[in-house]
Amino acid sequence: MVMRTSYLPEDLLRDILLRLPVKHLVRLRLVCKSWSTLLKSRDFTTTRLNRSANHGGHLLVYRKRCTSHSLSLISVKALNVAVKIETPEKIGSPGKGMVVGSCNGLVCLYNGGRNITLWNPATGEDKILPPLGINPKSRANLNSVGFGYHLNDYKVVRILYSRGEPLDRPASTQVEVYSTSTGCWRVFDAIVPCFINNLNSSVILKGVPYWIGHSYNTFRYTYRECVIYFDMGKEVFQQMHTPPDAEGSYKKLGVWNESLALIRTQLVVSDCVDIWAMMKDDDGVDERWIKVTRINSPCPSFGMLLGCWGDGVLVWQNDHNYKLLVYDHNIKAVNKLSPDAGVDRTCSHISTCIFTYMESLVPL
Amino acid sequence: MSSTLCCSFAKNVTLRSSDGQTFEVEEAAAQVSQTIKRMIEDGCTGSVIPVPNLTGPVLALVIEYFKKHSPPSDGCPTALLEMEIKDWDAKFVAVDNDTLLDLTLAAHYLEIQGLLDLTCHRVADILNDNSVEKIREIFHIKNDFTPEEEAEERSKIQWAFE
Repeated sequence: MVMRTSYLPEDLLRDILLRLPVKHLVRLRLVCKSWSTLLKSRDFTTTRLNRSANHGGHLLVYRKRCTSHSLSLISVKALNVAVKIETPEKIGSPGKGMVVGSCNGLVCLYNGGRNITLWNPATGEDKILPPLGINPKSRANLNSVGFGYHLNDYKVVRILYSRGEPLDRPASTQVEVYSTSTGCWRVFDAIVPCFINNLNSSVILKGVPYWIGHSYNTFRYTYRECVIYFDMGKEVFQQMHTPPDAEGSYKKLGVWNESLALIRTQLVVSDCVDIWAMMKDDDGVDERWIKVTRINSPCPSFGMLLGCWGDGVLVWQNDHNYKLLVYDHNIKAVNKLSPDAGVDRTCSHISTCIFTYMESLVPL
Repeated sequence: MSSTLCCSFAKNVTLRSSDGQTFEVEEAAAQVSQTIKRMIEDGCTGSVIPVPNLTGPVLALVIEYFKKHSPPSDGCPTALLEMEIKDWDAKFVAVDNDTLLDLTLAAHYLEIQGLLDLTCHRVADILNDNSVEKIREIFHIKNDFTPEEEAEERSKIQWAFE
């Protein structure tokens, strides 16, 4: 018998394994020790993650009704529902639980009480974080949670506002930050430059959570909108202005070609949206909003815009039947989806949150 | 016709496998391999080109692939031709597992990108479709986990087997 090469060179094996879905890669850790080492290496994990990103990734859709909630994935390339994910128990009850956000294949879930869970749906791993340091009952219930990372350190930030504090100046606010590198929460007082009234951040971009915030001007008795983000490295809040010509309308944050985007829908004529993208110069210091495009809804009067992701995918939710309208601006393709059809028809309202998601081997 | 014109200018090279078998092939066809292309450019064409990593039967298969994929004489492959090549490719890699692995290694050593994509894709399908035990058998891999280690590792990822 001819002597066979009983192994593939590591670089060739790597090239083959990188083509496989994450679920299969997890199983293949059992083949032998060298495969296990390769599949668990940080280098392989990073390359696999970049590959997911280059393939367009998915949108993670969290839909919540009175007594039920569901998670599903929409393929960005095919504009269809790729797979329905089993909603983990750790998210809590539909009434209180929520998805905080998703980055690098990890999903952060908050049960509305003191428990936050990090979860990798592709590998099935999860990690329940130590209970939140500040008991929400001892302070006001106004809180907001963000998820992100700095280098390889995944972090959760939670902001608790005290009820009754004047909103006209940056409130001294209690903040707690969990980091996977230390494994514990750090509680500190921070200046939050404006007030965030969303429970979660709508956009996490390159590991940074962004919110739309409001600051109150006592002289004019007006609120001014701003964009606020949490610098995961320095652990401080930063503020950005919204584009001056985007005043007086309904705004959402989104992603446009890997830049932060601000979307404005006109309150009266809601069928067209304007999109600004935050452009940075080469050294990343100077930032400014550039109006990139105006998009007309492919189905006029369809409903409320939920946001934009990837390089031009917009999603609307119908106000009556709660169907989702997924639209790819680049190829002008449109698809109507109901990712959780048949669930809880007695409930008349569905709220939907959408996050970018790409499957990864990132361990917990 | 231009193809007859081309063939009258065709230059051949000789490839020699690890077990000493020699094969004559058109130079343009052999250059589908980046490795051979570099050797030709470096001036190895005068004598026989050694291909020490491939046995005769595998080299014979690779040469079949070269012939099918040599650049067309008029330089513009038609859509019909592309379809035909795609069909041919699919049949070409529908071989037993050992031959598939040999072809994968050959494509890797000889830097034949098209064949590498084709074979890697097939190997990836095999990895997707087979149990861990079967994969060890196909790839001739020895299970070096102790039963305890394997049981522990398996319990962590039980869901992936469901």
